Amino acid sequence: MTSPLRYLPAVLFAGAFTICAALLSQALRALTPMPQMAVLSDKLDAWKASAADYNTVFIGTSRTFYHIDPERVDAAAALAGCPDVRAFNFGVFGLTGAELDWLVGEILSAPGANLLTVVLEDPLPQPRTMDEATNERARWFHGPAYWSGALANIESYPESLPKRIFRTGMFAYGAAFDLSGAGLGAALAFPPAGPANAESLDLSRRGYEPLGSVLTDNIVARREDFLNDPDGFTRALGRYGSPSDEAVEARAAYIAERLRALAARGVDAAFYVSPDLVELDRTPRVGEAVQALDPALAVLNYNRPDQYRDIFERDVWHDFSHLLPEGAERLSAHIGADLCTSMSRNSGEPADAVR
Amino acid sequence: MLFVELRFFVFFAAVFAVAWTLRSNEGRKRVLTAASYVFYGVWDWRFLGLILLITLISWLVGAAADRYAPGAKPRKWALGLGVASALAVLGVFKYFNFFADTFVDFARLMGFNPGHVTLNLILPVGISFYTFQAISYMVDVHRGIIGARRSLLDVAFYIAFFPQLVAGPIVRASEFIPQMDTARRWAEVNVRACVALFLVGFFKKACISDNIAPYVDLIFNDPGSYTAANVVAGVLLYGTQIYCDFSGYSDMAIACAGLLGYKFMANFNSPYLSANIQDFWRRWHISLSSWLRDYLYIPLGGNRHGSLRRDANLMTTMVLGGLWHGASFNFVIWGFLHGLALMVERTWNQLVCTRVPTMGWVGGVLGAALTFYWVHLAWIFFRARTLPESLEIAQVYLTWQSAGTSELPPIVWPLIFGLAGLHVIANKMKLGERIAALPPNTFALTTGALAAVALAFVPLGYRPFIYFQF
Repeated sequence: MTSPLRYLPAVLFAGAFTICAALLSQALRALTPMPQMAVLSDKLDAWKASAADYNTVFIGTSRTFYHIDPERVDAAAALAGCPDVRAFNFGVFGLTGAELDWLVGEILSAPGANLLTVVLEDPLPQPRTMDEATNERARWFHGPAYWSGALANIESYPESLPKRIFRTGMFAYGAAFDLSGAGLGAALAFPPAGPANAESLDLSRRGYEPLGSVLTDNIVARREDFLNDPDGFTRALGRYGSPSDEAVEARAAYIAERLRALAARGVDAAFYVSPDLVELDRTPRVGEAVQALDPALAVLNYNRPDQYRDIFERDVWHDFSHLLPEGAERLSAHIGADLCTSMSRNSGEPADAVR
Repeated sequence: MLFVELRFFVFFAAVFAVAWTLRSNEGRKRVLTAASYVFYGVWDWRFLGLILLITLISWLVGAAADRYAPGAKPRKWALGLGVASALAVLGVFKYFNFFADTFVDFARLMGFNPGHVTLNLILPVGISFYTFQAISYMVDVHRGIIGARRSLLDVAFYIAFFPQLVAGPIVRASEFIPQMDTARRWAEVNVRACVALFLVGFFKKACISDNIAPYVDLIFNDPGSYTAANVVAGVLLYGTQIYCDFSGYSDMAIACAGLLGYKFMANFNSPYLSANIQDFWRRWHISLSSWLRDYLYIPLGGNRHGSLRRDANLMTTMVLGGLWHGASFNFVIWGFLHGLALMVERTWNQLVCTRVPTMGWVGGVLGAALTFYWVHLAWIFFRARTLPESLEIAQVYLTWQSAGTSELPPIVWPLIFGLAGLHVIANKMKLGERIAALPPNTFALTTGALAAVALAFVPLGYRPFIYFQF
C-alpha cells in the first residue's frame, strides 16, 4: 500500500508555488502603474484634467460611447430650458460591472469635479472567453480589489444559471491568472523596447466618437453581419445573450444600489437604457424593474419604439446594438431634452421619458 | 504547443500519468508515439504524413539491412535510397525555393532569362531534426551499431518522441533505441534532477531569452539608427538570446524525456566559456556537431588524408551545417565563418603551438575572448534578415563606428553584465545540481517558490523557440 506521504513533496511544491505566486503578484501589482487602456485611460486622463468643466457625465459601454454626443445633449437641454448642462461622454467599450464601480469612484474623486448628474448604463457581464479574461485590462480588473464587484455583476446579470456558473468559472480563471503573477515582473523589469504607441483617442467631442469615424475589424464585421447575416445575430444571442424571460429583479436591485450610492454622495443619478432593435429585448425590462423597485429612481428609457420612432428606423442603425451617427444625433437630442425634464421632475414635474 | 505554455503542462501531465500507469512497455510506446503525433499535429496535422513517410522509409531501410549481409549491394542501395529520399523530402520543403532562386539569379547573371519557379511551401516544424534522426537510424543500422527494428512502432517512436521532435536534441538511434527494449522503471527516474533541469530551461527560455528578444529585434530591424555601443550590445544580447532560447529548450526536452524514463545526451555545456572554436563546437548544440562529425565529416574523410583535405572536409561540414539551419546565404556565411575559424585554429596549433611555449592562463583568456568575439560576429549573419543588413551590423561590430544616435533602454547594460555574471556563477556553482541534491521536501518548497518567481518574469505574448524554424 502506498503511503500518502509519498505525495507530500508534490503538495509542498503546489503550496509553495501558490503562496509565493499570490504574494509576489500582489507585491508586483502594488509596484505596477495601472496600464494604459484604450479609451478608458484616455478618457480618464482627459477627465482628470478638466473635470471642473462638466456637470453631467454619462458612464457606460460602447452604447454610451457611440450614442451620446455631449454637444448635442447640451444644445437639446438648453432648448428644453436647461442652459447650464455641460455633458461628458464616459462610454468605454465592454465596460463591466467591476470597471463601472471603479470608474464612478475615479470620476467623482477627480480634482475639481463638481458633478450634478451621473447617468449610468447597465454594464456588461464578465468576459466569457479565456482571452477576454486575461487581456491587460481584464487582468487589472480581476485583481482582489475588484472581486466583489465582479461577482455582484455576475450574480445579478439576467441570464440562466449555467451561463452564470460559466461566467463565474471564467472569472475564477482570470483571477487565478492575475494571482499567478505571470508577466508582472517582466513588465516592470523590462521596459518596452519600441516607441510608445502614439495612437490616442480624439477627445475633441468630449468623449463621443461617431461610429465609423474610426474603423476596426470588429466594427466592419458587425456592420456586415447586420446587413448580410441578421440570423447570425439571433443565433449568437441564443448562445450568449440573455433571453427575455430571464428574471431581472436582481439586476434591478444591482442598478438601484448604484444609483442610491450616487444619490448618497449628493449627485443626481439616472439609469440610461440604450435603445435596442427588436432582436434584443433585455434592457427595457431592467429599466422597468428598476422603476418598479423604486419609483423615485430616474430612468431614461429609450427602448420605446412607441415613443421614439425616429431612433428605431433601421437605416440609422449600424448593427443590432449600435446607432449610426445620425441615429446618435437623434438619440442625443432626446436625451438632452429628457434630462432637462428629468431634472425638472426632481423639482416636482413629471417626465414623460422617465418611467 | 510550446514547453512554456499552460496547455503543454496539461498535455504533459496527462501523458505522464497515462504512460506510467501502463505496465507494458509496448503499451507505453504506443501511448507516447500517439501523444507525440498529437503534440506535432497541434502545429499542423497535415505534416504528420511527412513524419510517417520518413518513418516508413527508415523502417524499410532497416528491414533491408536486416535481410542482407553487411557489404551486400542491396543493403548499400537501400541505405543510399533511404538517405537520399529523406534528404529529398528535406530538400523540397526547405531548400527548393532557395536553390531555384539562386539558379535563376545565376542564370540572369550569365545573360539568360529563365522563368521563375517558386513553390508555395510551408516549412514543416522540426523537419531538419527528425530527418537527421531518421538518417541516424538508417546509418547506424547499416553500420551494424544497432540491430534493425522489426517493429514499425519502435522506429515511429524513436523519430517522433515529442520532447525532441521539433527542436532536438538530435537523438542518436544507437543511444535511444536500446532504451526501448525494456520498460522504463519509475524508481530509476531522477525526478528532482529532471524538475530542476526543466526549471532552469524554463527560466532561460521564458525569463531571459523572451525578455531580451524585443531589444534584439530593435537593433536588427534598424541597425543604422543606433550608436556603435548599442549595436554591439544588440549582438551580444542576441548571443544570449539564442543560447538561452535553444539551450533552455534542450534542457526542458531532456527533462521531459527524463521524467518519462528516457535519457537524452546533453546538448550544451557553457559554450561561451569555450577556450577556442573547436572547444565551442564541443559545447554548443553538441547533438548536431557530433552528428555532423560522425555522419558527414568522418565519412568525407575527416583528418585522415592530410591537412588540405581535412580543411576542405571541415569547411564542407560547417557550410552544410550552416545550410542545415536555413535556406539562406546568411547561414552559409555563418557556417563558413566557423569553418574558417576551425581551419585557422588547427593551422595555428600545428604551426605555432607545437613550436612556441604556451602562454598559460593569459593565452587561455585571450583564446576565450577571441572565440567569444568571433562566435558573436558569426551570429550577426545568423540573425540578420538579409546579407546587406548583416554586413552593415558586422561593420559596426568590427569598427565600432556608427552614425546612429538612438539608444536602447538603460536596462540593457546591467542586463548584459548581470546575465554574464549569472552564467559564470551558475556554471561554477552548478546551481541546478545543487538544487536537485536538496532533500525531497526542501526541494519541493524551493522549486515551488522558484517556479512562482520565474512565472512572474515570463513576458506575456507568444514567442516561439528560435530553433523551431530550423
